[in-house]
Amino acid sequence: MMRSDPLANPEPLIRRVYAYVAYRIGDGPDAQDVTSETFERALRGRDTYDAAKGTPVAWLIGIARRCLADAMAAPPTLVAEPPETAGPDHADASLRRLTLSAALAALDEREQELIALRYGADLTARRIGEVLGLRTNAVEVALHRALSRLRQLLESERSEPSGSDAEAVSTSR
Amino acid sequence: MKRFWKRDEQLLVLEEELRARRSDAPETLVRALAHRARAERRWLRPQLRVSYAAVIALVAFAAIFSAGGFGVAKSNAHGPTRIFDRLTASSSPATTVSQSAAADQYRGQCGPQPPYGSTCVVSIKDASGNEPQAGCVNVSVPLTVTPDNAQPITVTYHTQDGTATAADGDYIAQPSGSTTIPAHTRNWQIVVQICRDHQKGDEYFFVVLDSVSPGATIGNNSAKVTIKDKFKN
Repeated sequence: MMRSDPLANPEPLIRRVYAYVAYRIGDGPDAQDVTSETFERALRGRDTYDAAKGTPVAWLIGIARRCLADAMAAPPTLVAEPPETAGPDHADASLRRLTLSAALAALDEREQELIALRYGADLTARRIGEVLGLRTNAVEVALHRALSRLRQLLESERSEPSGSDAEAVSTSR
Repeated sequence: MKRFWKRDEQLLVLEEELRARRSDAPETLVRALAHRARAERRWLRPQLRVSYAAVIALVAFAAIFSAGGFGVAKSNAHGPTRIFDRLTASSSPATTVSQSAAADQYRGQCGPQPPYGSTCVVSIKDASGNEPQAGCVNVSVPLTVTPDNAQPITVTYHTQDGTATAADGDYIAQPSGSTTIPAHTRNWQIVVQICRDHQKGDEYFFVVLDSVSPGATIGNNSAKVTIKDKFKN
């Protein structure tokens, strides 16, 4: 009996794993390292993939979650600085991005994970359920709650900026 | 009802913003990992074929025994013995061991093609150091290699001014440096020197990777080195 190869078409899988990892720890070399480590482990455990238990992308995201947990548990390199997410030339876009990033950071770990799986890895609620061991309905409800909470945080953040900030944004347009 | 639809639209906008926040994987990384996945698949095939042959041999052998094969073998020496010989000859132990050893030897390693699984990706990461009270001090700028490099990799680099400039003595310029990452070393470092100056506030410059030896590619090619001014107040 021939087992199906989960890495038969690797490019889209690499992009989705990277997008998920970058969603959790930021775009840059660290995300590249975690993505590489994920594929290292996936290649070593290629024979253990069981198509009956889920899709290749759900299997890989499960491995990526363990790699992320290991990377976060490892002591930080003393000399390294976190990469910057935005340059000075894109002030408006950067401001929105940073506001969204700040609001995401204010969510709890579980909500951040759900949003990263949905919008980073682009998994459906059903696939997220496979990864997290939850029912599809429970995932949908939790996602909706996370989005609502995120929107509330953004609204409170956007209603607060000072008059000078608002003026700067309006003149830049 | 109207309010309900308004809320939904806002959520849709938020979902769009969240999707737009997705980061694209660097092409070098995608190519390197995809190449690796396909290369290991080629290694996997002969191994599988050998193991399938071994399974078929065992099943056939067991079937012959359970059907009173010995009796047949005694009465007809050319029957089961020849079948067994043919089956074992098609997967000789020497072939199995050498193929398996070859696959194990190169699995998880990168290097010039062939026989390694993929191209090594060398990346540089940001770093920082405190401005010294006097003179200059070393700062290590991390380099990472993925996956495991089977052979040494030579990297050339240069420094580039940012707000910190070599002309002002903020750091020691390195117009063309090189370092060799030993085999099987996932983490390495480039050492640059930062110096005491009389400017207030943090300053930075860049270390840029120029080239790597054949069999490797550059991932993240530039690192920002921040000189932290601890005398700012």
